Amino acid sequence: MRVCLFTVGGSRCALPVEAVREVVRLPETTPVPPGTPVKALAPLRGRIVSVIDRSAELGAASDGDWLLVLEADGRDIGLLIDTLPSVTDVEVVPSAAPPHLDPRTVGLLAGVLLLDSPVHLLDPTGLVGQ
Amino acid sequence: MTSQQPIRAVPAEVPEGLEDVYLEFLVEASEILSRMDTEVVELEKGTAGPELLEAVFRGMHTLKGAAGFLNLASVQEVAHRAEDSLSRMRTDGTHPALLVTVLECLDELRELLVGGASRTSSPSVRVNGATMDRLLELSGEMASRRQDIARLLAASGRGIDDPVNGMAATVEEVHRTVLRARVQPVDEAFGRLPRVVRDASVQLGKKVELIVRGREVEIDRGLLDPLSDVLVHLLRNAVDHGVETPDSRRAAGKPEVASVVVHAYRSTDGVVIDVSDDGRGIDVERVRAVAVERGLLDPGRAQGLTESETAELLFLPGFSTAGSVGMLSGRGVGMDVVRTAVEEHGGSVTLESSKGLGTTISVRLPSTLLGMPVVVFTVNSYRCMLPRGVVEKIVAPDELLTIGKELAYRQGSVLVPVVDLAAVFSSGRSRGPGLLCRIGKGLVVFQVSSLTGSTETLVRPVDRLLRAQGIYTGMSLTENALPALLLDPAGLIRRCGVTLSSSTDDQAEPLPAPSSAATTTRALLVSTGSALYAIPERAVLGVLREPALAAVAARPGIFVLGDEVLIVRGPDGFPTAAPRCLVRLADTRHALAVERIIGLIDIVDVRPAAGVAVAMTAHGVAEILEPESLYAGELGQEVVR
Repeated sequence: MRVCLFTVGGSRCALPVEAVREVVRLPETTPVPPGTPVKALAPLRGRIVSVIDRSAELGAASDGDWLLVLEADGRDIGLLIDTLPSVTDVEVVPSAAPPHLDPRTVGLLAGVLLLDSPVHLLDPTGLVGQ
Repeated sequence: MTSQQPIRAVPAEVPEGLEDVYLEFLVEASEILSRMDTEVVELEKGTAGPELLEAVFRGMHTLKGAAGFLNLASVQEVAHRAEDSLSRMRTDGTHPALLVTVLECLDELRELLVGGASRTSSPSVRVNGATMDRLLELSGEMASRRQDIARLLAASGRGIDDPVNGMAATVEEVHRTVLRARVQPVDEAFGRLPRVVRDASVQLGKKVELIVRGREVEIDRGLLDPLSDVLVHLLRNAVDHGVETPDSRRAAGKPEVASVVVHAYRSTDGVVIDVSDDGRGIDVERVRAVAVERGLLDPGRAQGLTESETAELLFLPGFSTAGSVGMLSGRGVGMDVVRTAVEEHGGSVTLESSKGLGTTISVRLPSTLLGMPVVVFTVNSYRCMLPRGVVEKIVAPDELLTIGKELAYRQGSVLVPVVDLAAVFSSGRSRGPGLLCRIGKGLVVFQVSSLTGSTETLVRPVDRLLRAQGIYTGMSLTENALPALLLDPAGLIRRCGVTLSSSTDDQAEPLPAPSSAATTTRALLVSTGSALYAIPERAVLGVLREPALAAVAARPGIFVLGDEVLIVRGPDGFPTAAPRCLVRLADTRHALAVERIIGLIDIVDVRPAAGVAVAMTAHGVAEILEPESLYAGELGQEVVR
C-alpha cells in the first residue's frame, strides 16, 4: 500500500495516496464560527476548500501549517497537518485500533500501521464526518 | 467538487466496453421518458391524432432496443410491457386503462434508469455543468489576479496601465461568456408538470388543463431543480386546494375544466414564474379561523386583517387550510416550505387571490446565481454575507435602543428585535452597525462588527458539514480573494428563536406577531433613572410616595410597612434600599421600588422585542413588567428572562 506520511497534532498519521489530491502551504484563511468540525475556509486557485482540524482528536491541539486536500465521500476537504508529507510503500497490514482509544479518535481511523512506531491510518470518510 | 451528483455507477450487467454507451443511453432515456410523459398525458385527453400514438410507440421501441443492446433485462421487460399496451391502443383506441399502464411503466423505467425523480437535467449536462463551474471559478480567479497586478503596479509607479487594462477587458469578456453558458431555458424545469397535474386531478376527481407560457425564458442552470420542486408543490396545491370539483364549478357557472397557468417572464431583476388557477380563491374567513385556531393569530386582530395580510398567514410555518389532511398536499408543510426554498436561492414568493376567481402565486428568482448581490461584513474575525435583497437598510450603532438587557431598533411605531451575530457565533459582542432585514413580512436587525461593502458574487454550495448547521447557504470569494460565508437569514432566526416584528406600512394594520398580547391595556408608567417601565393596571394594588418603610436588618429587600411585611425589588429584580416611590402589587406581598411614578396610560402598541415585551409611550419606550413575573420570587430573572 502506498501512503502519505505526515503528522497531525504531533501524531504520526497516514492516508492512502489515492485519497490525497494535493498538499499546499496553508494560505490565508477565513475562520468559521464554532459548532462544526470545519474551522476555516481556504481559497485555493479560485476554489474554496473547507478546512478541518483533527489535531485534538489525533494528538495535541495545534495549528497545522500545511493543508492536505483529500477526496472523501464525493467531495474535497482540507485537513490541517503539521508537516509536508512523504510518500512510502508500506508492506504491513493495518491492525485494528486498540479498544481503549477515545471513540472520537477511533472514528477517524481505518486502523493502525505498525511501522517502526505506530502510525494512525486515517479513514477519509471518518475524517469528514461530524 | 462542484457537480451536484456523483456520476452514476455503471451496472454490472452492462457488457464490458459499453460503459460510455450506457452513460449516453441514460441521457437519451431521460429525455425520451420526459417527452413521453407529456405525450401520454396529451393522448389521455383524446384529442390528439394517431401520429402522437406513433411517436410514443417509437420512443418506447428505441428504449427497448437500446436496453437489449446493453443487456439491461429489467428495463427491456418494462419497455416491452408498455409497448404491448401501446400496440393494443393502435387497434382498440386509447383506452384509459391502457394509458394508465403506460404511465406506470414510465415511472418504473424512470426508477430504473434515472433514479426516481423525473429530473430533466441529465448526467452529461451535470458533468458539463461542473466544467462550466470550474471555468467560471478560473475566470473569477483571473479577474482577481488582474486586480492584484494592477495594485502592485500602482504601488510601484510603473506606467504600464494600458496593457493591464487591455487584459482586464479580455478577462471580463471571458467571464461574461462563461456566465452566458450557464443559463438554460426555464422549460427544463417544466418537464414534470403535465404529469403532476394529470396525476393530481385523476386522484381528486377534478378536471384541469395545464397551460404553460414563456418556456423560452432563460434562467440559471442551478435554479432549475429547486424551481421544478417548487412548481410541483404549487401545482399540487392548485389542483388540491384551488380548483373545485367539476360539480361545484358547474354550479358556480364556470367551465367544468379548470385551467392552471404556469407563466414565466423576465422582470427587471430576474425571472418571475406565475402559477395561476381559476379556482375558488382563498377563503379569507376560513384562513383567519384556522390561524386563530392554531394560535398563529390573536382573535382580536383577525377581523382587522386585509386580504393580502390574510394571505400572508398561509406562509406561516405549519399552516394548512385543508379541512382534512389531503393525500397530495395539506400535510401541514406547505407554503412556508415553498417560501423557504425560494428564499434560499435568493428569490421571493407572493400570493394574490380573489374569492371565487382564483389564486396567483408569483415566484421571483434571480436570473443568475453568479452575480448574486450580497452585503459583505465581519462579525469579529468571521467574514460573512447576507443577500442584498433581504437587507432593507443599514442602522448605525447609536440608533439601537437598549430595552431591558436586549437591543431593539425603532422603525416607525414598531420595535424590531436586534440579533447580535457575534452572540449567535458564541464570540462575544459585535458592537457595530446593524442590518435591518426583511424575512417574509417580518423584520429583524442583525448586528455585526463592521461592514465591508456590497458586491455581486458567485455563490457556491457549502460542504455538508456546514450546511448541517442550518445557517449557511453558500460561500464565495470576496475582495482580496478571501472566502466568506453566506448566511441564511431565516436559519439565523430559527437558530436563535427570536420572534420577528411585523413590518407595517403607514395605512396597513400590522400583522401581530404570534406571541404578542396585542390588545390595548391600561398600565402604570414608572421610571427609574432613564428606564421606563409599564406595569399592567390589574397588577397594581396601590402607589406610595416617600413610603414610611422600616428595613429589616440583615434581610435586604424586606421592609415593614405599618403592620405588613413587603418584599421590595427594583425593576431589575434586585433588592433595593428604601425607595423614593413604591408600587404595591396585587398579590399584596410584593412591591416594586421606583424613582418616579408618571401615571396611568393606555399601552396601545405592544410588540415583543428580542424576547422583552415593550410599549411605545409618549414618554418613550417602556418595558412591560408582567404581573406573573413580578410575583415570582426570582423577580429579576423573570423580568429580564
